[in-house]
Amino acid sequence: MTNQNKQMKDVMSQIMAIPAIGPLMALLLASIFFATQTDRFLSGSNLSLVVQQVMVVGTLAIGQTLIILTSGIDLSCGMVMALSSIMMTSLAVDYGVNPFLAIIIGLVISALFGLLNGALVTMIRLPPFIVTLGTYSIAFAVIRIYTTQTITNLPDVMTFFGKTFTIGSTAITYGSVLMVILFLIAWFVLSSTAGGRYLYAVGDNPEAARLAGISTTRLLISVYVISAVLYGIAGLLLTARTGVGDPQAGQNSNLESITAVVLGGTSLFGGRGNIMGTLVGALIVGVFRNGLQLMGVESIYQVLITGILVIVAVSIDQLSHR
Amino acid sequence: MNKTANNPIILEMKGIGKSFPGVIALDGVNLSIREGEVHALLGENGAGKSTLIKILAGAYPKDQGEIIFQGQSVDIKSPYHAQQLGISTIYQEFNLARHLTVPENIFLGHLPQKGLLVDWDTAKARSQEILTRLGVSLQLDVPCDTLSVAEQQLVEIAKALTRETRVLIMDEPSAVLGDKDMEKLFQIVRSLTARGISIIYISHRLSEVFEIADRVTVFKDGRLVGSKDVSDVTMDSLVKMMVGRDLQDIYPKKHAKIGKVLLDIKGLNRPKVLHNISLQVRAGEIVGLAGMRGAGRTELLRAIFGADSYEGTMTLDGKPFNPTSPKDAIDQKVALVTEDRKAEGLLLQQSVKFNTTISGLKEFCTRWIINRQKEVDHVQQMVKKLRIKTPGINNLVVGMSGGNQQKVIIARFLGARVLLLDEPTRGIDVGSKNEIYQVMVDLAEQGLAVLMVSSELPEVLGMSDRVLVMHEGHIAKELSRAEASEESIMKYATGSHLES
Amino acid sequence: MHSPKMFNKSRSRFWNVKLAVVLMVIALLLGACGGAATPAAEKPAEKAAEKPAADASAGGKIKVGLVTKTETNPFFVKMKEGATKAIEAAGGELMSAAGSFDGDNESQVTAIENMVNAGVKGIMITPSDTKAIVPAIKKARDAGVMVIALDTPTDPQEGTDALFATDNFKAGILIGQYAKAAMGGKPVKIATLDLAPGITVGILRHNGFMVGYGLATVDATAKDLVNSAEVVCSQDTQGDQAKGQTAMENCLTKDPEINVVYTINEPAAFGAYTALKAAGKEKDVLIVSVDGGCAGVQGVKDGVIAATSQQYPLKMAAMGVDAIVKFASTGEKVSGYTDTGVTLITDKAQAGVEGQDTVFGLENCWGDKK
Repeated sequence: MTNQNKQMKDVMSQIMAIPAIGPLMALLLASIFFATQTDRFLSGSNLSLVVQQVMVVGTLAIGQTLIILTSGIDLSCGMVMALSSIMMTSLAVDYGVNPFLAIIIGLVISALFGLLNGALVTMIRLPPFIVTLGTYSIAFAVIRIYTTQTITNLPDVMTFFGKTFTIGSTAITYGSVLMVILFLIAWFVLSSTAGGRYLYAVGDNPEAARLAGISTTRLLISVYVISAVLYGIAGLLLTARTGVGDPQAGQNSNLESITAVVLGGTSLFGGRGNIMGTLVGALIVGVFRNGLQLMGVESIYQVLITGILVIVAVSIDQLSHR
Repeated sequence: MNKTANNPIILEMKGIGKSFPGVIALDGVNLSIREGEVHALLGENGAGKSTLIKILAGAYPKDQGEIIFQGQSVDIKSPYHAQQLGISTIYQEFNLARHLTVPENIFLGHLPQKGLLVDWDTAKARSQEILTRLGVSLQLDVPCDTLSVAEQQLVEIAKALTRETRVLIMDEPSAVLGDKDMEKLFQIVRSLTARGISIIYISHRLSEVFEIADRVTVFKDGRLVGSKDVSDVTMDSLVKMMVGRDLQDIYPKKHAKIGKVLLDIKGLNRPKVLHNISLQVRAGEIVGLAGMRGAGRTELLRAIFGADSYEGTMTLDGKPFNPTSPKDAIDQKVALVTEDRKAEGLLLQQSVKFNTTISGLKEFCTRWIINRQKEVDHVQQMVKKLRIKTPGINNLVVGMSGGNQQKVIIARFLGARVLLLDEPTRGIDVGSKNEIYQVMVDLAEQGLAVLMVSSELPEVLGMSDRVLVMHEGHIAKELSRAEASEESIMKYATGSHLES
Repeated sequence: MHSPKMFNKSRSRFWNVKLAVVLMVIALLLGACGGAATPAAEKPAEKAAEKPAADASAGGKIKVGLVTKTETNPFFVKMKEGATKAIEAAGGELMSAAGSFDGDNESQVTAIENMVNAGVKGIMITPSDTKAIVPAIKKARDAGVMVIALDTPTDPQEGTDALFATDNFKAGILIGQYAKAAMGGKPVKIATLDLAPGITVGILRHNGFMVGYGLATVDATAKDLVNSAEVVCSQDTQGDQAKGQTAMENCLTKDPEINVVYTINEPAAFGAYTALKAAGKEKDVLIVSVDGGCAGVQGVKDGVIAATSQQYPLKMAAMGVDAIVKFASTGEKVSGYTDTGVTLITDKAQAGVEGQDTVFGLENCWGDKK
């Protein structure tokens, strides 16, 4: 009897040791709940839609996770995304630049913002919150100064990631696939490369990391630049998803991406968390939004529930590390 | 004869038990404290001392047993309740509001008031009065974080005295102090006991026990081994009680074959901190770096390690060595084990494996990808070699004892040729100390050069082949093993050689 | 008034589902952190599933979607109220959603996608971004859903099947004409407190005002704000009261002799009034506005606003629902533009400008009446 109990405990502790198990179980239970509530939820096309709906914020949240793991935070992500989207589409549509080149220029502009963030954080040692609050406004203003017009009639290249292919009867968006691939790459880099380890170390304790032989400045700047490039890619996905270049986009994306990161179990204090948890976190938000909508629940309850989810998720994180 | 032997008992603990998930921290502990005595608690890390004082301080509830304070059975519900009763605690990590002034901290939570306003004059006057009673003077109007560690400790003591404190618990008060400040601390402790206040004094330094304590109680594995009058014990018998091993085994120094010069420093300077430092460390040699706190020992190690800027020339194994960052130094196999493990050494939220390989990750990588099997094999080998106690290499370092944490950091740098150690056994129990000394000896035998900063003279004397004594940023004296003694080191460390 | 009993019944069922959802979420997360709580997590789910009338399984009911710009603006609250009443009368079900800020296109796209997946017959939408929403609407229409724009046309207007809206250009003309009559040929210095760059509604109202005052000769297709020498100050307010106040303060600094203030909506007008009052100029300046919310009409009655053009969100939504219900039963689509009407409300009528007084205005206003 006691032996059995012990075995049970061992199994339980093994299950609890799986990264992001908490968020994953929440996602699973939520899905089961919605499946019992509406028969439309579990259809392949609906699940595919949920993934498609989180592809933009999910991609942003990859970058956000990297930065939060270094115990930073990035409020500028949505604006960098919108800027990249506007630059790409505007160059291609208004100035006839080759769309591939336009996309690359958009990504480079994103990277420059990342470089600015990273340089201010490391060289002048400003808190990331302040730096990115500033660059949020700067990017916001740059967009408005550049254009207030929505850019339409995009070349096909730019909407490619919004197109779908079918497996069986389920239509899958190319952008969803790209997001999942980006998550897998980030997961591999974080868990299996020296750079990934260094990132966790810097987030855990920057001084100890430096004294352990890590070039913290170089690492942090790289993280901010890589994250910004991811925001640029999110901008491309946003463009593809909505089919336009939208100067109004991204104003809330910083909080949405942070929500996904937190729901995924990453600590806002840095050094602890799993990138796949962020994917699950983004999906939780998507599943609740979609499921509640299918049930006919007003959207304000989605906001309410997201708020509750965030607080519960952080509470669990706090309690489990007492 | 113990002069407090006939004093009445003020605090008595009977059958105290406390367990945490998976651990029995205290098991049936009986302890009594007499009025006006200094009662030292000894034991290795994890022996149960901290748990006991946290129960007394109201930080943890007890699971079993009874506490009788001034003849009454009490149930200490909270830290506030403990203070109300007259039990005050000074933890190793001070509880000061760093930006507030001295009187504000002394009267924190019960500032004297005039109507609705704080009565600053009274607060200042009473602070001054308490400090005078302690025989010290402090500048009152400055924020506490501008005070030295010793002065902050005084503020903590003064805080306890604003309340009707009957029992004062001091958790390793000497760990943060230099020798001069310790003398002052002992004076204060004596003046407190003279006024009938009982002191529960936790320490790792056995020598202090003989200097200050009336009685001593030894803990091991959550149980009380025994309480004795200090006059009835010797250093040897105490160590035996603590670890079941004899004192002479603590320093396992063997003389390794001393080889060529590995680290050669000429004219190293850092403005206001280090002045014209020249020294050599040879392969197989352990060089002790003694001196007072603030003499520049830590700064010297940091400069050699490239953590701070410096001027001067260094060579490593005959080749120029001018590190501009810790990474530079580590790439050339020079490693620093810092004094403050938690703030500057460990990555606390990470695993044993993570912490062990973080500095040498490249050796386990093909291009940038970590070869997991190779890494795991290496870490398991290290755990075995250094006898690191951990349930698994993926367990977090945060919950480990100080000694095991220190071993993890040493494991991190085992590939080095020059090992810089800053207070390598600070806050570590006797058993683990011995194991760390053993590692140092083994490394020296393998031809490493070791430069060790230590404030514990027995350690310096017990482990060093040579001793360098620092005073105010200079190397005041080099002493051979034969010349080195507590007296000779102190003479140069205090600068008294300059006065004569 | 509908019977209180009916109201209570539908209301309590509504709450049961919602309560179950909220409890579910909490239970879910408790369940996720410790195995012990799992049985508790199943209960509310079962309970909700047992309910035969759980909204999701309402196969035969007509579902209508309503997507507004935000949750908070009383204009959209009124719109939703109109839609809810109309759909309840038809025995259908309303699904609603909104963006998290004015201009939030992506949330509206997501809402449309979810509603199409939920099987709605038709969607009514007030587009946050008139151009950006068009591709998403096209996908919905391709899936056989009828889409009606409410209040704000998409760009191009053919992006939706139909448009039910106030003629914002006309709303501007009315207050322009009124202001001109009220000023009676006196020299005029105008401040315009506008919406935000590039938003069609703002451009239409502003340009309408300018045309109505006779200061410009553009038509409703103009893409930019027109101004003349009389306009001494133009500032964006996002239709927000606090921003309206700041804008007015700045305009007064720029030119203290401003005597006519055009405002994009009534909150902006109230902000402007606060600023004018602080400067002691509230008696000398004529404020005109657009919207006709109850608070705004009360402002007209109180003499804060001289005149406002009242629009009818409740009517828009009700007409939209009727069209979708009709489409569901007959397959017949509506098309083109339907003007839902606009009326000038003022208590100081001017000769030659048609209008109604605040008694009429308060009877037909939207938002909470005092």
